[in-house]
Amino acid sequence: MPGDVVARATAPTDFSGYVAARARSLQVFAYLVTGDRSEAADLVQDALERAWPRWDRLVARGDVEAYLRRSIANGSISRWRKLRRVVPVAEPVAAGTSAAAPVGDADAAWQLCSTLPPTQRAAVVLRFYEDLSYAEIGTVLDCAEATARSHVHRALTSLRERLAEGADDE
Amino acid sequence: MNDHDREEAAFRNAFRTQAPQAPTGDVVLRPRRRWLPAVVVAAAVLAVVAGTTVLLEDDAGKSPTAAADSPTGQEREWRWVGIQDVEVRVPAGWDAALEVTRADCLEAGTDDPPDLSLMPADLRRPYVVIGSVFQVSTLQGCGRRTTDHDPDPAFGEVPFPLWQPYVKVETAWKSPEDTDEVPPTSQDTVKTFRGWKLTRATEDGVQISVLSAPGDDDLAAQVLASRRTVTTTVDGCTPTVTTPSDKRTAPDGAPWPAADSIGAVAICDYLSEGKTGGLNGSRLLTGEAARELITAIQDAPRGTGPDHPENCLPEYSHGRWLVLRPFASQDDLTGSLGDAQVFFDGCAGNGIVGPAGVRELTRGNCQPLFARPPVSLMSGDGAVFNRCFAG
Repeated sequence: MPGDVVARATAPTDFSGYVAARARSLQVFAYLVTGDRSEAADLVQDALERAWPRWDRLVARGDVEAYLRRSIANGSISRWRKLRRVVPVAEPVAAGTSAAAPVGDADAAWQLCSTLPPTQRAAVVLRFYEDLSYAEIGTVLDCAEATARSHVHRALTSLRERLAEGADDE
Repeated sequence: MNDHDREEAAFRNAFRTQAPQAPTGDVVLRPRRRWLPAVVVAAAVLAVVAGTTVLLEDDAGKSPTAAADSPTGQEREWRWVGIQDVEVRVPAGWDAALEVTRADCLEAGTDDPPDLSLMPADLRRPYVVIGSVFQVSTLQGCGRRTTDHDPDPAFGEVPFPLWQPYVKVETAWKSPEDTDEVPPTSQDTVKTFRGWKLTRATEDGVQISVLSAPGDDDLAAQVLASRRTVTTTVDGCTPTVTTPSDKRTAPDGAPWPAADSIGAVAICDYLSEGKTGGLNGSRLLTGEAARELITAIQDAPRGTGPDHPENCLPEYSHGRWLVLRPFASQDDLTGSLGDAQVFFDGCAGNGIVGPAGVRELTRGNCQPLFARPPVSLMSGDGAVFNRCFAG
């Protein structure tokens, strides 16, 4: 979101000012990455608490946003792994097999997100909501630019297949 | 148009539609430093921006309110602590405390935030535990376990919201004769829980445990790397001493000099290990406090006491005693002006034996000895408690 890019560039450098200005944006990112409101709130809180002792260094490096988003993304990955071990995950309803009314593209994309590996999900959120470049996504997810590109491409391919299945059922 | 225009548009629309569903509640932050920057007040600060309220609290919530002094090794100040002949560096601002271990009052099954006021003040900030055995049940009202509390048993029984960073220096666990089982809270380990890191390592019979708050991951490595072996401790104590006999006779040797010649008194706490006693903690009194202690000993009634020999069991012997080491200056703890032994945990033979002769325990000469951890009084004869327990 262009406005968010401007906001990131001009965010306050003091901790409390930054949180006041950017907490909402972090909460949205966390929610889009997890799909769960309470989990999103926890991830943002954890990320800010981790950033606080490092604040001066992060500001000096100009690394605050990337650090916080990486922290949130890593947190979502950790929780996803834990839930996979502990909680039986219901198989997602395959597109086109439900007797419900056909869903629009946006609904299909959101449903697909809940089935994506958390790193892929984070990558598409960073690309299509935060409008980051692949290089910037790589910085946030601590991976190579090519890997970030691959994450997004796979998610797009999965969505294409889902949309195609939905069309076949119509 | 690129190959995935439709899919890209679908994702963009999905995220734009879902974004308003994100939580809009308060972002609750717990300050991790003991002090707060000028822009933040200790109680609560509200900054309302676009529906997001930022609260800065320094009290209860669902996560610990750990207040690290300074998490970076370069900025941090250190001090030495230890038992027996082992010392490690710990953050200078972390005071010694007695740790809570009683678990039977920790109730499960509620999400009520625990009442931090029920925790002893010593345990509401980062702390150091030195020595073994003297763990107490101080959670009289008890905190409550929250339903999302599921750390590994190695972390112990204190509910997660009540956690504080700590360093512990203790004798290693000794299993009873009929089992080799080591409790989870005494096993060497490295474990993490929600960013907190627990490290426990044993070497030569002394176990070092470090619980670090999120963002302070290097603390354990720094503490463990500082481990050293000493022949005289930082407080001027010797790691081991010969277990004293049950006879209470004044030693030969020069009396103490006048109290105003005393600059410091080391209080060295020993546990019997048979023929020798191992150092289990120590403290250093300096300046006026040291001089007042010496004066109080010299002014105490002669003879042992308080004693109740009628309560003695035939096979009883002292399992714990103190050694007091006066020095002319706190800057030179190598030349004791004459050691004195303090006996307090028996039915008889209690008192102070040294260059001032044999003296009874009094409030003036005993309470200062047990005023603060790591040298503390946990049990014993009621009469001794009346004179020696500081509160």
